[in-house]
Amino acid sequence: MFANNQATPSTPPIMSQINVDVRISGTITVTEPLSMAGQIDGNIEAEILHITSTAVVIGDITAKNVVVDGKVTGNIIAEKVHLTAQAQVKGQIQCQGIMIDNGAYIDAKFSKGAGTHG
Amino acid sequence: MDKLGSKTIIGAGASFTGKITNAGVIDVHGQVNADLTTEKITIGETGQVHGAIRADLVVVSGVYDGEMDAGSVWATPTAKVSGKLHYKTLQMDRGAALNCHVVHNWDAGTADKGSGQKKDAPDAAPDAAPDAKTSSKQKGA
Repeated sequence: MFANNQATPSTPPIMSQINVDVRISGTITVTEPLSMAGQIDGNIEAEILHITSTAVVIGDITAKNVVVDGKVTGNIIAEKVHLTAQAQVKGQIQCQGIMIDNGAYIDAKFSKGAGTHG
Repeated sequence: MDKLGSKTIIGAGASFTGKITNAGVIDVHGQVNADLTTEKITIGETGQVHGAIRADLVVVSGVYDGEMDAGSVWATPTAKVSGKLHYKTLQMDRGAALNCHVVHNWDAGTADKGSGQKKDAPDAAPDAAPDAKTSSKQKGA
């Protein structure tokens, strides 16, 4: 039983990721890239954040760079935001630069952030 | 994402507060203050977990504090565990530090055997007692 897992404990952490099936309520603070594919009811703070197409975020996002493929309900505060064609965003977006792909579903209020990310 | 496989990783620079449920495999290298329900969890050498864990397999190489309800527990030489540990099978490597209440989970291991359930009865008593009382009262009435 244990023999199958001999190699596991020392795997070096590359980046943080939250898997598809995972449900989270709470806050994540990350000082490294984060890939979010699951459901979160709460806030995310990260440097580089990827909200994948399977992700559902209900809460606020604070980051430097955000790529949204999935669903976000809440505020996004970032320097650079990229909303792809699959993105669904509802809320407020405060950023310095934004890119929105054709097809993105957005119901949001935009404002130019003055370097809100610390 | 695909390269990393289908597991959840809380990296070394990450801290998490809250609750995680329905996760298949979690690797914790950062700080977690949360209740976790998962199949398998690995607490890496840099990982710190405070909170309850329910999992089939727990590999501890880092710091754990809380109440753990696990099928198999493997404490590697760098493990530091405090709190309470319910387990079915436990492997403890030389060097692992267990400062905790360790309870073998009789009930989960031999759920179908009457004797196993009896041994667990004192633990289950607080929950079971009110029911027993009410039922006996009902019988009396």
